[in-house]
Amino acid sequence: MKNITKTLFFLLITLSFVACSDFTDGINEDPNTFTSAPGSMLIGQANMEVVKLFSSQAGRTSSIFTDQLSGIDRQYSSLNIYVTTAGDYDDDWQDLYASGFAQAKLAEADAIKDGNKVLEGVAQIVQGMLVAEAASLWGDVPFVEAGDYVKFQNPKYDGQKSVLDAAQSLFSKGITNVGAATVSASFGAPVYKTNSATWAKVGNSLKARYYLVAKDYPNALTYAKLGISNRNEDLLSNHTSTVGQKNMYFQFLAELRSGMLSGIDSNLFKLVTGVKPRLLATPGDIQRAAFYFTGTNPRTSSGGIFAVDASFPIISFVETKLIEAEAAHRTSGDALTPFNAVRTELASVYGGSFPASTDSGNTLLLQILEEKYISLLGQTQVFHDVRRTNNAIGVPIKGVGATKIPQRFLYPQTEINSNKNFPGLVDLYTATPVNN
Amino acid sequence: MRKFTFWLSALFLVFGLNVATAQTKVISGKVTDASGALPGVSVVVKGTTKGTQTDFDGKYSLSANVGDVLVFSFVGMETASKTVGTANVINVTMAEGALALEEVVVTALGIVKKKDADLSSSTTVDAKSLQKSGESGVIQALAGKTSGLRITKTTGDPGSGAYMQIRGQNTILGDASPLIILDGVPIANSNIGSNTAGVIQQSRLNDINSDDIENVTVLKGAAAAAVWGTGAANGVIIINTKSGKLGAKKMSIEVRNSIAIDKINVEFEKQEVFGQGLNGVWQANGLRSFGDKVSLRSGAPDAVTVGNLRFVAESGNIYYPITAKNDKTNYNKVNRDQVFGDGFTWDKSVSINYSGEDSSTFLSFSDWDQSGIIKAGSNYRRQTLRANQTTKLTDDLTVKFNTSYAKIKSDRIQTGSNVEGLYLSYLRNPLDFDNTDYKGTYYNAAGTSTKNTQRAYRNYLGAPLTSVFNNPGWTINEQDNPNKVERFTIAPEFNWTIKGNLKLTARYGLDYYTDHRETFFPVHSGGGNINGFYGQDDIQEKIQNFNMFLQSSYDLTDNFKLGWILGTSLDRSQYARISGTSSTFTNPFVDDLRIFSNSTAANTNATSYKSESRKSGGYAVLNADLYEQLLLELTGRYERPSSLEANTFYPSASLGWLFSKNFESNVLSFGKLRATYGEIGIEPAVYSTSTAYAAANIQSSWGDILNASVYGNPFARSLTLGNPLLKEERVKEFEIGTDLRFFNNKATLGLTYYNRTTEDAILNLDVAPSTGFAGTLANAAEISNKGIEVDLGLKLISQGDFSWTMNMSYSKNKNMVESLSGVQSVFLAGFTGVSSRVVEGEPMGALWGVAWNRDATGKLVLDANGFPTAAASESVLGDPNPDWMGGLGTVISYKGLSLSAQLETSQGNDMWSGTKGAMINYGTWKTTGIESVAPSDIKTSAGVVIPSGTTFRGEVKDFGAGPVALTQTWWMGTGGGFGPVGEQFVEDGSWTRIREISLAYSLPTEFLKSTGLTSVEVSASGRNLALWTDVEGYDPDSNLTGPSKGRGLDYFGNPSTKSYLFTLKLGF
Repeated sequence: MKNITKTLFFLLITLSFVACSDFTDGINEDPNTFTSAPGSMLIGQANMEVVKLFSSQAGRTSSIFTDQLSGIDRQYSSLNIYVTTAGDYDDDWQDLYASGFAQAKLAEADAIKDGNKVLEGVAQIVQGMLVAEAASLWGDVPFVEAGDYVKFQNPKYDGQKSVLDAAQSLFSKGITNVGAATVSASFGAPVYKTNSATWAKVGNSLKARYYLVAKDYPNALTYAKLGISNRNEDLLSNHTSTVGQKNMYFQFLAELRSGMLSGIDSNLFKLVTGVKPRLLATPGDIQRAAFYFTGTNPRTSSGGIFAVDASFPIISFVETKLIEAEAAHRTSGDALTPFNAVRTELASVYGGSFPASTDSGNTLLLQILEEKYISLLGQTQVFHDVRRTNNAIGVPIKGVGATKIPQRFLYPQTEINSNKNFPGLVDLYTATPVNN
Repeated sequence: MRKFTFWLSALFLVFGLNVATAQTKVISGKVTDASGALPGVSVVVKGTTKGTQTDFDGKYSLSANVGDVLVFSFVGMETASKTVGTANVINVTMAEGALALEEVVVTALGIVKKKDADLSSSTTVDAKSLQKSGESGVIQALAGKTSGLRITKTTGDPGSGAYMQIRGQNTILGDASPLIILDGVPIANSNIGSNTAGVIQQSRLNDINSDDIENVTVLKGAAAAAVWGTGAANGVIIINTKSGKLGAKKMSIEVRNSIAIDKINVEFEKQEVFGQGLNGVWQANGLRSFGDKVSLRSGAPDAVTVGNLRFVAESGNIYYPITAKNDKTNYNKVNRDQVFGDGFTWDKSVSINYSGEDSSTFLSFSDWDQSGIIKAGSNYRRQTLRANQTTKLTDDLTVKFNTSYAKIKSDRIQTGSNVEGLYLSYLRNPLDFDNTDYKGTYYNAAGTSTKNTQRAYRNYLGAPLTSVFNNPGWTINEQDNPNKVERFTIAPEFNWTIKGNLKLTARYGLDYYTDHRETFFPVHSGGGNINGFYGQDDIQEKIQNFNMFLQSSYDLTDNFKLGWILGTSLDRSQYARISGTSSTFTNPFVDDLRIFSNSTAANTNATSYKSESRKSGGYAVLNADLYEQLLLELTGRYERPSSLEANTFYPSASLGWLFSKNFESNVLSFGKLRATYGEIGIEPAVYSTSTAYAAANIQSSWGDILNASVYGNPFARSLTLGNPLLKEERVKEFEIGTDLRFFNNKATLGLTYYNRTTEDAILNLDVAPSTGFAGTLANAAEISNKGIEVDLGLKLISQGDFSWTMNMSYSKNKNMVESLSGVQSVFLAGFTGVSSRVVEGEPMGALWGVAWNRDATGKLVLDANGFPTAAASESVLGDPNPDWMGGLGTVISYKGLSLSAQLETSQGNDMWSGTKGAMINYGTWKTTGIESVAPSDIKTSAGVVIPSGTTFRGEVKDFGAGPVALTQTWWMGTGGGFGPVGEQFVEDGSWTRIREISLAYSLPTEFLKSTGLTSVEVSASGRNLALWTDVEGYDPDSNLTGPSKGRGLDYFGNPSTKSYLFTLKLGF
């Protein structure tokens, strides 16, 4: 009996483990996904994030804070009076860094390895755009240690100004690398609409935009002049009525959260419908209002600003010219010419009368700012402008007991939870360094 | 597998070579009990290793010397001893053991063992008490039956799954459900796709017909489950199905017919005063119920503009634009009756039991046909077939073959956070809007018609594509969510008595099912599917196990007995899922057609996923029994799961002392002390060791999305960083307990204390997104569960035909997330506002969200108007785990009559009442209909002053700065469910209920003699008849996200039910 036991013991133990490795080896290789991807594919993901960053929740929040639109229902009723918490910003922050910035950084590395200059340049411009927008919204944000998990598990936060500077340097490198590449032919389609946009002009417009944010008006002027020079060169998102390709405002307004976001009582609605007089009389606003709104609701029907297939401007000719106008004004240059170019452009777009300005001084500056406030409906740039100019155009303060509009997006709960170098929550009403 | 075949033959070879030795005198005989021959009785020569078992005729033969003592033992019988004398034939009649002594448990390997000799805290629940519950699923039927087991139903939907938790939660990401062993082999217990929206999914454990079950054993402790190693960390549920007894030729047939009526057990109360609208004014298509006071309307028909613009309902009713709302009818009742009614179940089953000399057969067929409390589109039909066959090939070889087939068809209703869900739109519906006409033809101002449009309270003229929230009638009648499951299991088992006590058991198990699900939203549905949506989801799962073990025992001396088990097992689990969707129908009139080609290519999408995992392991169990007092058991399992890069070893040890053998006492009849230590594991999810790259959509938390597939399918590096260094999660448990019986076994008491810790729990470490990843898997957490379990049984009266027994169970588990490696919290389930999370220093599943802003002394920080404000960041708001749970059951029987009841309670479990929060925001919650008189000049949250003495819609409340008015502004803002403060809706969800009560009567056999029937039993039962709880509107024994690890969430989940059951059982 003892022999049997011993033999069996031996058999069971040894044989089962001879079988073991054979039986289990190589089974844990995922048959569903790839383990690497070329930069040319990764850049598309970063571009999708660009569209999401500017035309989804961050844009909507900006439009509520600046009273372009009113949050009138459910969660947006709270947001309308600036009641907001850290968790509200998790989504924007995570997608910006992880789905956007990091993927563009990988694409850049892959492009450098392959010697693909254009891809390298596009990846640099996209990185610059994402991180500059992050700095504009949140102030001090990670950049130097961002998107490099192996080296930095807890990225340090860099000063807002230094991040904006770093973004400028990325734009400059990018512009050199892309040469004359068009957006459509070089890694932009089908995320961006096919038109005459070139990466270099887009890069220059972006430089102007973020110099403006940094209050570096001479540079803003210089690069605005090198930027997008007509409507057909706008960087526009591309949408159709296909599921997953619809305008994001449309999805929110018409399909998902109908009735939460409205023009009712909003400052922009009043300006564009004539309830509140414009600084520069603009009869054409009747046509523009019809493009913006159906009744008091943002227009989502065909041909409207937030139609299912309406492109959303990431950066446009109108914005570039208005940057140029403001920067020129602030550096004692010719602001009227670029400003009136915008007015002419609007007249051609909407078909109404957008008379030129003949004013000067502060009146002209306010006209420029008000025009930008109205022209860039739903865009985060207006939120940057209102804060930067200390609310020069007098956007109504909607918060109970608040004396100014929110001065930043709150740092997200995800960073509070997981970044050991998180510098601490900053109050919603504390201005970011560049606006101090 | 080839290697196994090889070594299986090797094994036979070794045994074949073995030849018996000593031989003196052959003793033979027959063992019987009251009902005849008794097969399978162990006959051992005392003090030796010599022994045999009786055959199917109860016969045995073995060699022994004169003077040897033969010991006859059989589970449930009193052991008999006979001394060998001159006779060569020894016949034995065995007597049934005293009732309490009969109690048995089933071990992890399916071996039946006397409870007294068991060192674990396992409990076996017999089939009768499962059937009595009248639940479709085995899991649900276990509720309240034993300590340490928590069962939570998802909803009252037919076939709805349930959450099962033994002791506390052990893992954050790993599989949280217990391992299910059916007839010795593991089977699938998946619950795939439970979310905050969609439909309620079934638990695959529901596929088993409760009538087929002989008993269910719950292995709670780690040591008891140790032979299963990885995968057994959440406990093991052992289910054995019925099989006929070998022996006398006998056939019996049992027919059962049962009907049940289901009713909603708790409903939300809506306010009955104010109509649709805002600011006290009626509003057509108004979102909320903050309109005018309905009773003040004229009561005339609504004034309308008759013209082209209209909606012609299917009923022929015509709706024109309303110019003045005059109707003062309250439609709450009509709207309720539109969707809710009584559920009805008809459950039939037939089983045939045949016992032959060399074989036994158990055949059963059952058909459970249930329609739910929702009037349409909610049903569950399960048909099962089982054939269990046992055949004795030779005296030493027995083959069992258990096989089953189940077919389930069901229709489900959209639920939860879902504008196409039932309760969401139903509970937001204003009282003055009649939902009856939900479908018809819309004519615009020009007279152009659109057919089949939906009319709902936010779209009273049924304009095309604008309903937003569904009409509940549309939800149940027009949308379609069928599913069909087909499943079969095969479990052959081979038993070979090699020699004496040495036995080999080999089992193979195959469990395979397909689950076909469809989702259909017609054109004009609410929400994101207005243009129509059709989706199909096919899931396949296959689980295979091969398990083989040798067991033997030796009585080395009278006082030293040894037993051992040596085994090996191979597991293989495969999963595949193919899903397709199509949306924006080209032809909007699809009727019953469900095809993908009714959408453009760009609007159709397909995805697939497959996975496989394997495991191989060997195990050994060693038992020792000293002086029939001291019991020792050692178990070790060595294994390799494919999801890990290294082999693992799980040790366990148990020690018991039957101390009552040392003294005689009238009080204490039996006493055992036991202590165990065990380790088991949970493996990481498959493929988590590497970082994936795949096409990725980008979506905001509000749902607006950009699909990669339509944007050139760009790839992204996954936001989850792969970790090749992952180890298994290891549960280490120390358990100490006692089993006592008092007053001649009239009272039994089981007490267990356990302390278990999951070390290296895998956690999706919330990596700072600025690193480029959102998370990574790491062995970074530690979770502990400490608790006490008490089971008390009392035989209060047992005199003649009358008996009265009671049983009580008490469980207290303290769960704690000891470490999360610095991560503040991990999301499990829920919403951006309130979620169930893992938080360091808090119990698992803690409810998390924004609290009221408080100062350092804990006082509310009030705003200028005297209202509380929201805290700046999120924190823990409550604990969904109960402080303790208890069960109290009783059975009173007199002759054929028996009355039983089961009471169950759960205390201290918090719930997030999200539905309440939303209803307050919408002005439909009952207290939002209250009118108050301002006691002084008081302010609303917007700072508007309500002059003293004014009657207003709202309530007066003092938050600490004097009375303020809670009005529409407050409810739609911070004081409602869409405001930032989740704390106000986290409530104590403690409950106590009569889980079941049942009255049964068996006709006396003398009445049946002439009928050919052997038994007739009729019974009436009630399930969930009474519920006591402080939460309002819903049953807190439910969870929005189903059996997920996130607990304690309520948000428009379909309602729970109570049932009345009537059963007739006939035996032939």
